[in-house]
Amino acid sequence: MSGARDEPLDGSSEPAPTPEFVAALPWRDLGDRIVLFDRHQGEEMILGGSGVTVWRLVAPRRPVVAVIRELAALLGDGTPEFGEAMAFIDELIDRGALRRE
Amino acid sequence: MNSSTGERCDVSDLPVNPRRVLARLLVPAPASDPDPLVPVADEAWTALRSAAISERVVPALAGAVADGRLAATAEQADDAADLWLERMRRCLRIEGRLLWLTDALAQRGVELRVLKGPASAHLDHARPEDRQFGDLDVLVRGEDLPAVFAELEADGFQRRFPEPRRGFDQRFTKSVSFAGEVEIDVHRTLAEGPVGHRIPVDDLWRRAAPFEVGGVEVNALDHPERFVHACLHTHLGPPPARLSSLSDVARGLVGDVVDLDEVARIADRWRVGPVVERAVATAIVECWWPAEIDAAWLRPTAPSLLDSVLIESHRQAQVSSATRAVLATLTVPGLASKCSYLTALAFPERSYVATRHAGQRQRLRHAVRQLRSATLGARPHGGTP
Repeated sequence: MSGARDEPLDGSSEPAPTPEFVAALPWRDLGDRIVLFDRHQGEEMILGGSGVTVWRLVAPRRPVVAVIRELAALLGDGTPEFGEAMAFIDELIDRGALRRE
Repeated sequence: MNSSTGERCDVSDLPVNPRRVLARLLVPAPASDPDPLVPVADEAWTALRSAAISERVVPALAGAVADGRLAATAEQADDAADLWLERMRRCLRIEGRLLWLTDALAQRGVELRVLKGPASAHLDHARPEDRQFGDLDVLVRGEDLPAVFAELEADGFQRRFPEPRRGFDQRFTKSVSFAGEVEIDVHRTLAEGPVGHRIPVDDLWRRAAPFEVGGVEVNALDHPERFVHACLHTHLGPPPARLSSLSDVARGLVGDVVDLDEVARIADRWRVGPVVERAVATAIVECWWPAEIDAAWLRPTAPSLLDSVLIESHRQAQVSSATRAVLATLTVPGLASKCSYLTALAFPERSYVATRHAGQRQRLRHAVRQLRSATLGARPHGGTP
């Protein structure tokens, strides 16, 4: 996946400046938990709570800006849950599970 | 229990046969929802979870608990969920190795087909979470085996058993196992010995079914060939077949994806029709079947005497490896190949003998004992060729 850009969060006509994309990983959805294999680290990651919500949005390999917009609508922009989800997205980027194009 | 209607399992079966209960959880739940079942007693739960582990169908147990087909206490539900998680962790680690191997072999220009577990999980089950697997099976062309072995050994994998004689793998072997972070079985064909030599290996490369693992496209056998393979794997071994294997056959029957006429054509061409028919009948009897399944599958035709002997040599645990080797020469194509095959097994290289017997002489004595036992009807000693 490359080159795609998404609408900005604020609804303006300017495209989001740094869209992020999902680097696909093998994963399994077990309902309340998701386990995925981090190929970069060679270990499994087990997600719960907001991680499950985030991954279900991320896994179809949509641009992360779109995922963030959906999270904001789902959890409420500025809520603790949204902050938790954003922190998890940052962690995924740090681990290489998400990447910037 | 009336399996023709696919009704839910009866927990009263549990103390008697947990396998029977689990087999009924392998196929989709019926549309009608009977009364909820009470949670099973701890003793029965222990038997059920042990059977699910040994039969490699933990997802069926955990899934049935999760969707309410099998009632469970909160503790049992947690237990099932944890078991499921552990199995899926293992599956993902195996898929990680699949991605590594796919990439490494692509760089060498070697094509592969994914067999059994991962392919069935992604292509034949409703979702990959429903199928667990414990190792990685891949098919490569005979001429590519050395390159694949080199790649595995360079990454620390160790071959379990040496080659009987140089060239045996590329011409005759079914598969070669490697131990490492995960077990990887590298196949040349789909079945061993007496029945396996009938399969024209070029047929396995004519087409493929792609699926995606972690964003990477990999290839499995196409649906009909995959179904025939599931049948071979289910029926060509000492019964009872492991439920995870039976699940692959059952899923093919209920998934409405497999063209059974095409399956029959392939089975005829490979001369494994009786194996397929019996595997299907076993799956139907042990699991559940939808009304639209052709009842003719339940009445397998009688195999020829030769087919019976060949098939039973796979299924009867007391049949010696020496007897199997002799029978296998019947199906190895070509006189020269038959001679090479027998020679390789009768006079293997020293490294091969060392893993099994104290020496060549002991090996020959062992083989003679096995054949005499088979001829006289006494129970021989086990062993591999």
